Amino acid sequence: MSITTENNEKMITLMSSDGEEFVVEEAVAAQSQTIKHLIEDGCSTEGSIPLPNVTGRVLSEVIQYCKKHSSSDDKEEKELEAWDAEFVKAADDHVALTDLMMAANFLDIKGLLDLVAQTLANMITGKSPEEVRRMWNIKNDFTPEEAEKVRKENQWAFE
Amino acid sequence: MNKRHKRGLQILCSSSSSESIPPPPSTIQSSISSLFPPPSSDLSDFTVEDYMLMEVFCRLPSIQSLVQCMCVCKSWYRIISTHFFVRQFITHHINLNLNLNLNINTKQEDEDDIVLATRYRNNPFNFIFGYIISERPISTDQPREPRSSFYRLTYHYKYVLPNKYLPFFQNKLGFDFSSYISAGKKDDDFEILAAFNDLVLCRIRNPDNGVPDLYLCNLLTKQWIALPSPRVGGINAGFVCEPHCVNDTTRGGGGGGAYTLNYQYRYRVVFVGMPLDRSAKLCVDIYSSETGKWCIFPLADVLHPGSRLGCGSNVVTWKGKLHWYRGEDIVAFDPFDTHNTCFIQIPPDIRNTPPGVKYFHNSLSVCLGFLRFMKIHYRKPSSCTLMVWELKACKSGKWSLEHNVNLTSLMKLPENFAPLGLTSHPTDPNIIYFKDDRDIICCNLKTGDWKSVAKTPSNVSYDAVRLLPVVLPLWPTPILPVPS
Repeated sequence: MSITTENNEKMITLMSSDGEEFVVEEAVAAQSQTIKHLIEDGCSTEGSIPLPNVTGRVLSEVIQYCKKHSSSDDKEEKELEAWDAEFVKAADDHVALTDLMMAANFLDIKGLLDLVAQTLANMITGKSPEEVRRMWNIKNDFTPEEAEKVRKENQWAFE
Repeated sequence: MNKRHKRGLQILCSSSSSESIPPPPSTIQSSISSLFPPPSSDLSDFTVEDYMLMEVFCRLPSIQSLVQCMCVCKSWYRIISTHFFVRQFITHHINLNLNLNLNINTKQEDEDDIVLATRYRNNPFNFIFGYIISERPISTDQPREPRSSFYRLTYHYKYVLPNKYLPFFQNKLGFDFSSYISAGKKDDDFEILAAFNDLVLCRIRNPDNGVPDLYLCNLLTKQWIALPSPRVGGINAGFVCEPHCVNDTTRGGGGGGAYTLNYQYRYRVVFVGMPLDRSAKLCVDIYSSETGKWCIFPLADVLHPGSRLGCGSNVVTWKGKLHWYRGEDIVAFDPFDTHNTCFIQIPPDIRNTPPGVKYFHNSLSVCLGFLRFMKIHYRKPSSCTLMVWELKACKSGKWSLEHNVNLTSLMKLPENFAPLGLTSHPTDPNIIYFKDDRDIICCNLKTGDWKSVAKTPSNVSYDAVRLLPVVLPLWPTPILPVPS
């Protein structure tokens, strides 16, 4: 199903894993290499494009990002950076960021993947293993002996 | 919310790794062997979640953060320990630096050096500053020490620029580098002979038998190894490591701008000097990391017959060879293949000393991947010129004059002391270091700004100072064990 708007912009419909439909301009959706290829292969002519790996909640965030990045040009780089910073801040925690990153990976949107991965990396930089575990709710599955050994092997990095 | 949380957890702490930690390193010195996985690690075990984690880990700013993440849980440990990930990490960081420095106007002869040079821009570095105090021997009626030197020499070392990435040594093997390096404690039994990237070559006198032991140490990871003793009394010493971090395409790999670790890297330690058995010829003794043995032969065999053997400058490692100036040209000594040793010509107008020059001093250094020849001409306290040439094309021996500055226009020089050129800043072409009476001066030749960064005590012999650059590479250089 492809609709055309007044300004002759081609629209396509994306469907999330939980059945939510999003109608977006083709140029916006084509920020995703995966969708771009699907369109090129003619998969969008009938009905909507199903995205079985992405929930509606995540997809709406992804579309927000793609809209912003398809409408901005180079001279607004600073503004775009600030927008990106707000965008990842709004994603609120690492779980939401991880979901977003998985979607960026599946949809093949390099800019978004870079942005989210860097945000997650910044979160754990300079934190001790204990702090990282607490922050991201990760279970320490080393036995005390293993933990001691790993720590000892890498003592230099902790000084 | 609960459901979401659980899923996120699973992703960040992938449960796919039920395997235990790899077996412990077999040698005592390979404390970070886990950071250098064998090339055989394969990709079949990775899940999408693992790849996502790799994307995050790649963007960590330093090896330290990476190593800290290894300690979080087993699956993180497993991912970071793989050859595949290490490759990704290095490639990401090198490409990042290249992008940031696209506007550099340096053009090198081969790509590896561009990478090296740009890498240097962002990598932390420091100088190890060493000086030697020589004192009159203790009164003659005391029993002679086993050492034969007339003067008692004491070596002092410290870092010039405190660098948070360079931790001090801790007690290992019964000696404590930290006391030597940080506080410059008095001890005549410890000497740093040469530095290369994150490695240093040290000589420590064994308190039991008085024989100097030789060590190769990694300043960052504190890996170390004891080397067998050379058979020449070193006039000059240096060492060369093959690149540990290499472009995949140059090794016939996948290419596409990817970088990987050279797991088969080799190194050589070189001593030039008189043989300890007192045979008269100047010799070179080369230690090979593959055989674990030294190989000695007359230096004349590798140099032009009849030419000067001596050394008119410090020794620097550049492009896999040891370089020293000998009055007419620079010897580019290849310890991996001595027949590959070549000579870099220095035109007479550069090397000749003009009339009226009372003292001159030459030194070699490397800046942004270029070899530099630095010369100081001292005429009188009001006239002292510092010149820096850079080798632009190795084969044709084309040198370009980068700096020509009358130091007296920048600062007041002390009477009767000709400055001693020491080295260049590894990444800023305008900054050089020289010794002026007792101070080590860091000077920006473009802006004229200068400051004293270190001071020697008054009883240090005038030219008994060393300033060895330590530039941390992207990935720590492992210390190979001595083959048995």
